[in-house]
Amino acid sequence: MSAHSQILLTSSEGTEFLIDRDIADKSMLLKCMLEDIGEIGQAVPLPNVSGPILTKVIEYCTHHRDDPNFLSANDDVTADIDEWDLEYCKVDQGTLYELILAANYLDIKPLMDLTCKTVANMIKAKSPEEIRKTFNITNDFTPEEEDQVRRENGKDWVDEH
Amino acid sequence: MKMILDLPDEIYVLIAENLNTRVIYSCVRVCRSFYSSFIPRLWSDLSIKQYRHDDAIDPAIVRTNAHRVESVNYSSTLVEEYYTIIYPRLHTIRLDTLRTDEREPTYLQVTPPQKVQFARHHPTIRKLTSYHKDTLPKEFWEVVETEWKELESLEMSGVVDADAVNTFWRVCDRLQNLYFSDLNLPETLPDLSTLSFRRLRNLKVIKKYHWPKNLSHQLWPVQLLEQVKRSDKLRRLSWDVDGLAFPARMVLEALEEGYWEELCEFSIGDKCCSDQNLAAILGALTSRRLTCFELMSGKLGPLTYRCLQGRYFGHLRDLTIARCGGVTSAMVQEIMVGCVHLVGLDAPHIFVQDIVRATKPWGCLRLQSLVVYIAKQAGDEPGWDGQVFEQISKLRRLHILDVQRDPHYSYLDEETRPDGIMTLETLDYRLNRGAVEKDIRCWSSLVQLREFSFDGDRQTLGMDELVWMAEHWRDLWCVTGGFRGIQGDDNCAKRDRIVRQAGIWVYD
Repeated sequence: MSAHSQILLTSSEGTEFLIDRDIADKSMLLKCMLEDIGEIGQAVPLPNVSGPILTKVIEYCTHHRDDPNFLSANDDVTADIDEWDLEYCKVDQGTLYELILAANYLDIKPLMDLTCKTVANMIKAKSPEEIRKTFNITNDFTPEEEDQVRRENGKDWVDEH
Repeated sequence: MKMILDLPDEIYVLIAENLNTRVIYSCVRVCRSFYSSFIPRLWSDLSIKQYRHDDAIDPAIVRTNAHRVESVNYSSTLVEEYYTIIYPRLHTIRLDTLRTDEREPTYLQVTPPQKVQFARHHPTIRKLTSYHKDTLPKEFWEVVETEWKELESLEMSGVVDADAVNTFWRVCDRLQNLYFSDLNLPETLPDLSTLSFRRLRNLKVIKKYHWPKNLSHQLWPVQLLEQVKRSDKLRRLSWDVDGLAFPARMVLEALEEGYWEELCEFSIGDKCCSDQNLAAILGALTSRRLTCFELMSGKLGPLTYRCLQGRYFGHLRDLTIARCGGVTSAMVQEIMVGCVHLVGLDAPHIFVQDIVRATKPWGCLRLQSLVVYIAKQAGDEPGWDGQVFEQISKLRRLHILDVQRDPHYSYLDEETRPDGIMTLETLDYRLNRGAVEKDIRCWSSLVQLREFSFDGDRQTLGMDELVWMAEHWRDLWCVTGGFRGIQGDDNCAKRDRIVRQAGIWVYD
């Protein structure tokens, strides 16, 4: 296997992306696949990932290309999150969720952690009504159900943290 | 466009890991979909306390959710009804005692047979922690021995009765983790000769209080250590037994004979062990590795320090030397340069001068938790503060930064108080100290910071600093230190609003 080999990926619309092997290896899915079947010289289809999202994922993997802790057998060692990552996550909500789904599908743990943390920070410290507003969610509980949820979990959790 | 509700449940699990219970309680009330995604997390780890002024969660409600509970913490004030609840997936139970529990009318009302019954209903438990002051009866230990097949860890304090002691040791014999804190055993010496402790990985023995002196049977920790010599999986040994010398010779012999080849984590109260012995033991580790070292009291002697530096700076992941004396600023600087794998450092102090004048930069760039007082001296030059801010800004993985003068309130006696440290000034954490000089704004690189603690009594931080922290440290949830610059009702209301919106707790 040459260090400079390249891999061809196809997004859901059929757009082709030629990327370096070491960038592809940031995805556990691709890494395992390439190790198992070898480089077949054909494009790898990614029917679950759109072109714009794949571009964004490749951007992330390229930025962290030389990060030695990116993937480690040791679970408690995680990739560095830096200011670049925070800027990277400043996208609209739709893109953020697509990124999460893509990171999940391609199995890129540091990107999962980063994007899930970003969502958690949007929820942090908010009341139910504020959460609905932030994420544009309709309250589909009936008043009785709402009452029941409160009753069955009926403790003020305010002091717990 | 995708909505948050399009995400699958397994993603919610990851999101919820970053949220505290209070927020998860908000989440379950948002809508049906959020309810089903977050409700398991709300109940998985349950802590119940019962006090006159504060009702515990209604047992009927707990019962409704019992199938979601994996871990419970029961205070010693809970009444019997809670012990009749059956949690089918329970793997961790903690029986806790808080300092004020004794004053409660419901303190220790639950009878031993009720606890036995509870034990019988929960054979899935893997970890038991017991700090209740009543004694667990023999029947309890019999249930644990015969029915808790998956038990791995036992942490306990209190008394083991004479009729239960043999069962108790048989239980211990097959566990991986044993933590004994102020454990009192009956007067008859335990018969440990048939036990092998084959699975033991962590052994911790602590005796600080209620330690009846000069009683020969209280030598059991030494006997136990002798007996665990053949535990070839032992990884961590913690020993802080007041009034009982650490059997250094025995341990040294064991190491020289090649026992404990996995042992690489060591925690000790130095009063139990001389500098010479400690250095000899560390130097003789069969594993030739030391990843964790804690000195909980006494003094870090020169021989021990030299051994750490000579052999283990390249291994250490956790180093706790804040509660002992003998640690100099120069040592802390050397540690931060040389220990490249360090994840946690808990040290007394470091001088600004030592950081600035050093020829090498810090190598400990993996540090996640740093507890150290950064002390300024009279001759320090202007501009040095900025260099220190910059050096710390390189520690991008920090989750916890505690730069209080006395983080553990430990410098109560002259012996452990570093010379003059209490009177020394520290870095100026205020913003707007002139445009040229580097200040706390360098720390915008600490994007993972969750907890920040500083001394607020010698410098006046205000709204600007609080707003800056809330804006730049997005994972921040706890700040300890006073913002004395925020005064007046309007400003305090504004502070409370900022803090609430950012989800931060501020303690003074």
